[in-house]
Amino acid sequence: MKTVLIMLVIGFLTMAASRGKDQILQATCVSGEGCTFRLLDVTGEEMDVVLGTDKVYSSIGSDDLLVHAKVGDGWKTYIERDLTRGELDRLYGGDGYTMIYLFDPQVQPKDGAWKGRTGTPVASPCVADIGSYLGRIQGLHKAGTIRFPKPFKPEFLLNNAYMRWVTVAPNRFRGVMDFGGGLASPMKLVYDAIIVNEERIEGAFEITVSVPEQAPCQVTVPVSFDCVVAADDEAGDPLRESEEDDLLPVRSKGDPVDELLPVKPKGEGDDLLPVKSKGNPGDELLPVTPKSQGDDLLPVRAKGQDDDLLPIKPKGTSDDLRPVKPKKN
Amino acid sequence: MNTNFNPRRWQITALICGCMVAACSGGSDKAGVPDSFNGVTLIAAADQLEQLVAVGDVAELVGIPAERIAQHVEDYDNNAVRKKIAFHWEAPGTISFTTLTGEAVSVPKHHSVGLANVEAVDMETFNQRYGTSAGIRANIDALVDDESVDADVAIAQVTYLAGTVKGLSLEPLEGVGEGAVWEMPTQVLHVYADGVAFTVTTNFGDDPGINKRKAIAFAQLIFNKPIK
Repeated sequence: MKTVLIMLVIGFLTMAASRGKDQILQATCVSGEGCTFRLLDVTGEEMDVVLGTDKVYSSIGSDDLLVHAKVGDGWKTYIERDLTRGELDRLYGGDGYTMIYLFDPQVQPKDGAWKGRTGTPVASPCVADIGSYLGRIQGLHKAGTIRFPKPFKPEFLLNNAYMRWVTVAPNRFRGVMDFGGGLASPMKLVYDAIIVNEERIEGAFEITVSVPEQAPCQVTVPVSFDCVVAADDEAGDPLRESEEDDLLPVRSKGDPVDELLPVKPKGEGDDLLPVKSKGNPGDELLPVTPKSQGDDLLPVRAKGQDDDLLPIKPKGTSDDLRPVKPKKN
Repeated sequence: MNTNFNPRRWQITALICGCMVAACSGGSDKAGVPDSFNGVTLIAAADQLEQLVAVGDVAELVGIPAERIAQHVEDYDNNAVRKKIAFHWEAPGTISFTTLTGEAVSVPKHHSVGLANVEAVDMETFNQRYGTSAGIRANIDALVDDESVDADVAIAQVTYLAGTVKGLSLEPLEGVGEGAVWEMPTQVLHVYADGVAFTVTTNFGDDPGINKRKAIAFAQLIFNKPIK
């Protein structure tokens, strides 16, 4: 290992390149705290494909930095082409000494008991039967204990060999499963996820099915996960007894109280969610924001609502099972 | 009009002016170690850096109100030696950029001063680590030896450190602790006293002279701080 690395380093230094030409160095900067750095494991070309951008990320040069700057409660992304790592760090108040971290230390959800929910699907009128896929997503509404990987990886949200994940911002991720291997595939699944805070993750599945000579069929299903009981390290680890139960989709513990959204099939063999058409004005839809409205990341924010993407309160079901423990300090 | 030269008056005037210049520059070029300083207790407190220095003392050093100063503790890998604390505040000027979606954004610049690398070492180790480039070379070796580090990350970080060695300037300082080194271009001060080493990080802008004087003054704060 050491010999190989030394040879690689010598090779790199000989070429006088600061890093591999295809690898993007991402800086996460917070005013006053400086910047942390991370080497992305996807190329700019791959990011352009996943995020649907045209030669934006693939234009990032080997000496450029992809910067996520915290502005208020959100993140702004830009490309820094002039400053070095140290100079950028000092600009944001850091000490100028920089390390590449194996992860982005800005984001880490709490271990503990989490509860997942699915929102009302929004579908365009279409002929394709994509109900079976919605049925699979419905499995995300269960609850269970979760021990997140440290560092957090978006693959944890949906780990599939065909899913390609990219980090859009320090707390925002996009995964794409393209069954056709390209933009013209017959079916594509996009999973946008955002870690709102260490106790809440929101997201949306967007399934697009292309039917010959028909308009594409598109369904969006909002999902959310909430930490209902954070693990208390000081008082002992309540997760020890179920360490294997640590993956999303959250596994049910068998407690019927946890089943917030019980599926009630309308007929035999019908495991579909009741997809509501956009054409029905009375169907309480989440009006999904089109991609073209400026925010190119998460098409799940409801118009006129600042925060709550998933105002789902199933009939006859208590919404708050267990209180979240207050933050320490 | 009385134009008689009065040497005593000029001496007093010069003394006052000198004091004013020293006060404005944020301290002297010395940071002596008082008898009350105990390296062992500083090491013991290394895991609680946020309790080592009072914000009020930093405010006095910086010359701005304490309420404008915030603290940031960097402790990503739960290692006390690599733990850092920085006191930061809004500085004149803004950072302006255009986002990938074409939005023009401006955020205020920040300055900071901080403490890092608190560790028990002997004088010889201190001189070897901070008085030469051996410390950075050791970091390079550690990265190369660490099989848990992704090869791409190791290469990028080693390349960065190798570049740091090329431009490195190390200036030994007399009268600061029992030994001290001012490192450029990073503009950090490494200090040794009573079996402990620590690093003062500075970001008071681009002027190395100001950063060095403030770093020495901050080191004096550490020496003078009664640690329980």
